[in-house]
Amino acid sequence: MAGIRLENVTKRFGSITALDGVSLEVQDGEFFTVLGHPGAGKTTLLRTIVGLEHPEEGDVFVDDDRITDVYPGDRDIAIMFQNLALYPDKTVRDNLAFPLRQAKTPKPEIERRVAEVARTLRIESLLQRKPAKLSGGERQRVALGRAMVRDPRALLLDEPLSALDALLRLEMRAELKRLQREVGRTVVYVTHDQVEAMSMSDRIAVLREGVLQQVDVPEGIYHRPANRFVATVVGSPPMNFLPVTAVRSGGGLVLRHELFETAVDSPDAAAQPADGDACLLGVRPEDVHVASGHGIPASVYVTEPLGGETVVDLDVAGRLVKALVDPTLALKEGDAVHISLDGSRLHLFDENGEGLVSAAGEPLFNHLIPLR
Amino acid sequence: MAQIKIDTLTKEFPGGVVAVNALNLDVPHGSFMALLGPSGCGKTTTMNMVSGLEQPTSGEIYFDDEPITRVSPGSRNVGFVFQNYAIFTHMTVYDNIGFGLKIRKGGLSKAERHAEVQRIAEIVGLSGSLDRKAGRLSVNDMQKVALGRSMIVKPAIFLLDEPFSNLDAAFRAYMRAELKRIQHEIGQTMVYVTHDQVEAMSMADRIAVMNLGELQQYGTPDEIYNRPRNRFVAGFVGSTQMNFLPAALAPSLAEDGRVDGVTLGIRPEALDLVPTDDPRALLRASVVLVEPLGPKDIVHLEVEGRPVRVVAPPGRRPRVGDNVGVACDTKRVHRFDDETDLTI
Amino acid sequence: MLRITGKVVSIAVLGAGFLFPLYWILTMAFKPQDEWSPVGHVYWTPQHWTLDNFRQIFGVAQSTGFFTAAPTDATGPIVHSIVSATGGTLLAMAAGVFTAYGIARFRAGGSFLPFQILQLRMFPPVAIVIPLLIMYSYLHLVDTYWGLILIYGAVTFPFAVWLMRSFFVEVPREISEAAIVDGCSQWGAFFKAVLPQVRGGLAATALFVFILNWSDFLLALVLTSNRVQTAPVFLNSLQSAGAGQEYGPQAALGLVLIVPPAVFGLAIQRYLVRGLTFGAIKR
Repeated sequence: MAGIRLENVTKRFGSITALDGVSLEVQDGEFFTVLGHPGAGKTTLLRTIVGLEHPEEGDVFVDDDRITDVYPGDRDIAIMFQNLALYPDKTVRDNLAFPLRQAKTPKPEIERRVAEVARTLRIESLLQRKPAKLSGGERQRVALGRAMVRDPRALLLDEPLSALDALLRLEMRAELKRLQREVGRTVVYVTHDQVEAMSMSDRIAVLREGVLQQVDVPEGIYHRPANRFVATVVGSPPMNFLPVTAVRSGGGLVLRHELFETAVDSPDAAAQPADGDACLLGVRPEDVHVASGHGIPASVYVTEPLGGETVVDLDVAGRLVKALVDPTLALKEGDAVHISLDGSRLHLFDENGEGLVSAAGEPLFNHLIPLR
Repeated sequence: MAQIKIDTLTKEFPGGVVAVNALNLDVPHGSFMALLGPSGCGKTTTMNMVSGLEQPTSGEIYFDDEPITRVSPGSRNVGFVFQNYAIFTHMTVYDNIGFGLKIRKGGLSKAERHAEVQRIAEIVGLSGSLDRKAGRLSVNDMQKVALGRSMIVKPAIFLLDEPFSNLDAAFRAYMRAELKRIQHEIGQTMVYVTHDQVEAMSMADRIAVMNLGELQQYGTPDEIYNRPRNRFVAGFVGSTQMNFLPAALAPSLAEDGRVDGVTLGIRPEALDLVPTDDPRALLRASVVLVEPLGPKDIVHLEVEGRPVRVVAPPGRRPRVGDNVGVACDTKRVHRFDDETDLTI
Repeated sequence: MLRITGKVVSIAVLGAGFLFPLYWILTMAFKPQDEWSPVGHVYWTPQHWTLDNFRQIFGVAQSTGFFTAAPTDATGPIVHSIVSATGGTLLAMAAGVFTAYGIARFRAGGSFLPFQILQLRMFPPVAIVIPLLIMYSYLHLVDTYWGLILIYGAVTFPFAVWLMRSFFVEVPREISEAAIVDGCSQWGAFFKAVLPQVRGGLAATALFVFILNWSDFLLALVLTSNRVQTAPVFLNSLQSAGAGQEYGPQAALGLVLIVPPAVFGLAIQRYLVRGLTFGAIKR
């Protein structure tokens, strides 16, 4: 059983704070992803868990054992580095066997484990080769094998797919997920690719410049983002934000945009936003519907046909709004159209980006009233 | 009159590696052409030959009908934007963008140069950052500086080699639309090299798909996506890979009864999940994995040992192990000959 | 066209310049005494090939007929050279490799240490050689093997550090980290994961350091007299009242002295190629 827990972990490098008071809990057997931009602190987080970095403050626990000061080799946690770090001078077999030899595992056991891992990862035919003679995907699997061969309590993967070709990445994504299901071990996965995070994880932790933003299941991150940053980090094309002003009168809350206004269903009188506050209305491209005739006026800025769907960039009162439309819709630059927003899928943020209200399946706004 | 004409271009490296094999391409004036393919397909080598950084083994390249194969890169009047921006980090944004104009002997007055820098900064969206040191910018802004710097000297042709691969996903989405818009505004020919089919599809007027040095197909995004010439193109383009099944599994989809030696290609969005007893169900499958992507789910199925992917709306999500039926939009089925891999 | 001729000509000139001394020594070694430096004449190749010079330096019966006071057997000095150069190389490498790793991987000594080590070489040895002699005489190290080994090791230690540091820097730190996570101690990670990556570098550095020690003249001249006289010093002493500088035997000894470094180089040849081209960073 290996649940991993971080309590208030802070890691500094000189004047830079890489991790700031990060607390999170990974359940045993979970596929847990840490998602963030390059430089957010994701790799530092992994390195702190495995012990290659020691936090200035805070503690790391595995199964309620405090391992903050335990030597990396003794933590029974394996890590797969972003640049794989295979031993170039050793064959694949020796690479796989290395951790077991270090642990002074008896030889027949080593043979058995190596054969098993090689079979699971389909690298049996490569055992005699050296890393230089392997393809990118093959090296990936060997690195994974080296981490798996010790049967560690937890596996940490640092952006393992980022250097692969787009096509290979798709294949490996499904395979990794399937593998994790089969093996049943806790996996902490680090990536900046939100599609990877969304498709593979049981839960996602969004990290921004060392500060944890939100930890939730993928749908939660996607449909109930806690703030603007989380809302932007998942979803491609990213969420659109429209500037609105809050207007409170007579117990009701209306959000007014230059071109339309909408009322909030059952607003909480005491909570934000206050009357006159500037807010941001968030709406995802797939919830922006393009029609002609009625709705909010907009003009087409550019179209991006993706094959299965088309992304249309629209100029809405000077702001760029992206919409996902069916590829058969023929639009040209400069076309005048009208858009409507799916009221049950809107999000509200204050001017600093903090989430105020998020659609959670309940209709937030009953209808949009265009202003002319 | 094509702006760029590539005529039977071949590049062979010592050791017998043929990086580019007898390539023929015409790039019309003012168009955005994407060279798309996996690593090692020859796209970067092709661009290096267009730019002059490499000499072809045989064949010719013409700019406006003038052969330029033996002209040095500096004299070809092409602008480059590389993956790692190559900007002067110790200079301000203003100086970076204006650099090309300053060293040119073309002789614009200082006021004219100033106006040009302002204009370009406006186009790339850096008007507010002109005084900042380029080294202190975010990665995203650095790439804009690189773009502006190559734009200002008004090259006839722009060559871009995966310029956005180092940027974060949200900004990449933003820059795709911007670059496309910029290209329409300035009207210069762009050749864009990428392995990311989303980039190629969203920006290009025409896409040249390459594999192992050979041109697979050259057409508009719509043609590449909906009328792929062969199996490679069909499988390479599309955010979720096309499904390939032997025709024997679904004989009703085979054309004029031809089942042997034919592979069917169906895009995941052309498939639907239905109950197993639904008359529309062409195949029976079991659910292996469900990938929730937000606006849609990708359901991985197994059909007689073969993987099949279906794009499903996020509402009704099947569980792993469920048995489901698969219905198909019969108008969107591609058929490939097993031997030649060509579309039938 | 002119560019090609220019290239060919400059290569020929440079080549000739570098190779000529070697050619001269080669021919001189086989010339009899009367051909060494005859008045008003130059013999480009020996007119009468002879092995007398070699016989002379190995103490076999001389045929010069002149009386020389100093012993002329080079075998002893050659052995002394081998011992002191090898010892000095081992010392420099032992200290240098670990120092280099400490600097490369852990930034040991701060950012100034590499420069401080380099400063050791900024003194021309001739400036310190007299104080060194005085120190050595106190320590009874004059004219001893250990005396030479210690100073050779110290003087080539900076080279070992600088060269090995650049090789260690090329090894991604994740390789040692992977070994640590796999259960090695820092030492274990160094020996099992990192060192195998720099085998070529080790070979190249060791050869370079050996050649430096092997060809030292000044230090040996001052710090030895007759017990552990090294070959370069001995070579310099090949002069006689009658013949003046004995070019023939000197050339012969010179040729012989090429052999040990060459043998060393051949022995480590397969590592050398990797060492010289090591620098391709993967991924």
